[in-house]
Amino acid sequence: MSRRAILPICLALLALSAFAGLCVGRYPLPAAEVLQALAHRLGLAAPPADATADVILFAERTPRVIAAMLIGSGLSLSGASYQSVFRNPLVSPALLGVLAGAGFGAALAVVISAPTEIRLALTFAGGAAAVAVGVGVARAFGQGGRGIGDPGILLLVFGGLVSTALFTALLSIMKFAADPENQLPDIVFWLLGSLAAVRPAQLWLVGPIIALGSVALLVLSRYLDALALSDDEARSLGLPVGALRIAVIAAATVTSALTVALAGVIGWVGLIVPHIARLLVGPSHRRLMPVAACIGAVFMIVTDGIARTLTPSEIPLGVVSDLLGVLIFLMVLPRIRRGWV
Amino acid sequence: MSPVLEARGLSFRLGERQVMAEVSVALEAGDCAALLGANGAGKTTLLRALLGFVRPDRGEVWLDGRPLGAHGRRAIARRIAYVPQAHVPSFPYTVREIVSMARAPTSGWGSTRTDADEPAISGALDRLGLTALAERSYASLSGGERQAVLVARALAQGAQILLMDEPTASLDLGQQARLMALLRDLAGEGHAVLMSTHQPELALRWFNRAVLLHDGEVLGDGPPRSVLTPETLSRLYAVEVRLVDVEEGVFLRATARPGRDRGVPSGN
Amino acid sequence: MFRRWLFLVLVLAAAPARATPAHRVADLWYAHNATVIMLGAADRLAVTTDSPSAQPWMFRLAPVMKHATVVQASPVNVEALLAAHVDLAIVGQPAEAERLKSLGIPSMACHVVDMASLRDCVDRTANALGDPLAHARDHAYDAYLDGVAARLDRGLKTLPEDARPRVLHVGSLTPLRADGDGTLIDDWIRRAGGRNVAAELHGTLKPVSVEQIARWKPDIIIVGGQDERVEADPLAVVPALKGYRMVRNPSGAYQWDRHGPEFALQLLWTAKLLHPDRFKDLDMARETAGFYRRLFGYSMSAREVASILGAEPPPPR
Repeated sequence: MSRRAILPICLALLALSAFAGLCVGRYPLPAAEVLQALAHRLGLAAPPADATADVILFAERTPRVIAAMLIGSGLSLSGASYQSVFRNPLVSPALLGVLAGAGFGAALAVVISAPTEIRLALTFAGGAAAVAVGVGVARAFGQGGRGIGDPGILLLVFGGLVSTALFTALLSIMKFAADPENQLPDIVFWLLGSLAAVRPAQLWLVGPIIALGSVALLVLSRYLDALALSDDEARSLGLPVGALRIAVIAAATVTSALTVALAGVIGWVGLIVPHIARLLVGPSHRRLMPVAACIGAVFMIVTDGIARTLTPSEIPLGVVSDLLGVLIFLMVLPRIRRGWV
Repeated sequence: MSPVLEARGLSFRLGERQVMAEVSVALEAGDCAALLGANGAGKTTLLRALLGFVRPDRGEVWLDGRPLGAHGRRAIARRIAYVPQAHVPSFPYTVREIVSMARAPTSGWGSTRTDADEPAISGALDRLGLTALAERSYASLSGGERQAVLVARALAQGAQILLMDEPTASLDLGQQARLMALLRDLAGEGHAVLMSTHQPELALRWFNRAVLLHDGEVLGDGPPRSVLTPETLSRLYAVEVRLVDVEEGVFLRATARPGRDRGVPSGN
Repeated sequence: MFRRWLFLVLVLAAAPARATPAHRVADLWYAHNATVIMLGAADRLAVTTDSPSAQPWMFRLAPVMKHATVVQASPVNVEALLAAHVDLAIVGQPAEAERLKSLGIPSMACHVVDMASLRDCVDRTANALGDPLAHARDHAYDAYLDGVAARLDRGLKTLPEDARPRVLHVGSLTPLRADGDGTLIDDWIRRAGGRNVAAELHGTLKPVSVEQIARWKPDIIIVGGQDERVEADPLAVVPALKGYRMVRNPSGAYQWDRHGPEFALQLLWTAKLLHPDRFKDLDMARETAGFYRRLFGYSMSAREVASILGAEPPPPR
């Protein structure tokens, strides 16, 4: 299969799974009725027989499917970008601490009983703060521009370790301080990841920013090939290496932190999806990034579909995505290994 | 002829140590220059300064008659190409993809390629004998083949000035000879080549200029035959060196005296 | 069947009747504190897990609880209990009770899944407390509960199966969780003449989606929990589901709908809610005031009664 054909196929798959996502759910809604409801909204058909259908479809499933797409593509793009910037295929968006920080921000919001908007803001602020701490630690202990070896990346990883540890500890404090009957289950459920609480209002607020961050990463991706080789080579080819790294980290941070604001902590997507995409279209970022975004979106739609339909009780999204992710990873691992050095 | 790339009085200090002191080197078109020196003499630092990767404490680098800082990064990339030592990458890029990256300073990073791109890439691959390997994964090649790919990339970049950091390190005899012949041809075609190396024999055989760095200072700069004498070589490498003329060229013979020998030349 | 067996095991594992009454009690199971208060031992509670912010009514009914130390329910800090000279501890898990007993603190565990196990829990607590007031209140509660059960039986005797309203009990709004089969909640729903739509779930506080709720098509949704945030109603954004009624569950010494002794009032309240025509002569205000007066020794003002029934926090004095 030609590599050029992959992206159109992925886009078609995305459209298909989005429609499938609208068709599955605990409330029985045949595909024909879904189509009719959609057509009705466009003014092309009569309203569907079951009045609840329209509401379930547009107030419940549609926000969840859209959120799943945004989160899946955002995390995949962030993961692929991080893997290039850090020149390591085992890296995920959590590296610099953004997920731990955002989790802490969300937990803090629960403990102080903050309204939704403040909660979103605190989650984002937590993620940004964690990355700032990580980068700050790296800068404080790093050498200047004499560039002996690659202290930049190593120290960034170190800074990320410190930041993750710090914000995980702060998160634990929040869990301890939370009221065990009402607040703690809220926090724990949130940390396991869930799209059950996604409301159109939140989506309108946070969605465009995630989309913006994702677009920024797509635009910056063309420069990442050279960066993935070495700093010196990238510089000799005319790239502003330091500024590029910061820009990519910033865009990935914004995107990842806001995915936590929408749906809690979803791991694994940012790590595994770039590998699958790389298997399909190779490491060149111009082709890799759009494909990774599509596959991530499809993965998340499928995962959320399973989480909210399999049993009467909602399974946390993070649990399904982790299990599914491990399964896929094990299946794909032999082929990935062949591509590694 | 005016120099295309010039180091003017570069000085570097690393902590207490003066790593480089008042180094001036001027590179011209047609130069096929070897940069020689012991480990730690400052070869890499000089190359990095010429590339604009590091800024000296004192002194300046000039490109085309203007300070390096006055040029944009992309403009510099269109004039100077860099061949580092081949390393193992993290991702499975093909040979062609690696070489294609060189066209970015000219054509931008987007998907649009100008008419000059394809010929430059294919030409560079061809010249280095890599056409058959073009679709192979770069990471799966041998060390010598990878080095050849990086040289091809520098060629495809279309820059006049080529700066190379010990490219012969992983090459076998044949690969080495082919690369040296290529560099000499390129210099003849108007390129300016500066290559750091550990092998004075190469300088004597292939290059038309040798720059000697010793303890951060220029010890000699000129035609290899005149600059590479037993005295200079012994000082450079802290070992007794003798040059023996043979029919085909010059043979170097290095003798390490028992105990610590700091390279006072013998009277031979 | 399993429940009966479990009940028996717990009875055997329970602390025996005491020679001397317990002086310093640590109650580490949230709902159970209400039972201790009812049995007149609030002043002997040295350690508790409830706080005025979480249970405002509990502290209105028994202000003396302010003097108790508030601790985490789990893990139990044994040294803190020993330092507080606790001579009776009530915990949620039998394993925890065993551990405390082995360390020299008499302990008991309660597992409340239905009315029978609730009664048993109150009985055993009275035995563990050991004083005459506790026993008296225990007997009074048993009698009251018998009376309530009989009243419900009478009112609902002729109720056909399909006339039972579909009831959903939501334990919390964020996250959205419902209570299923095999729970005390399931018990009072059924006894009060309703049908638990979430019965396909097992256990308490299972997360559900709005879609699942729509699929269950409840006639009435009873929202428990202490969520002050009214805007946190995720169901409000689904206008077509307005066919349901949403009601907030009252709370007293503890939430009526969860595992405290006010289960008795919960039965009456729910029966009145689901079948007002069959319980026309049931006056919740009077029952509530009477319950707290006789069993808690607390005279409630009319305003307080109205607040409790309206699921509001205590009005200022």
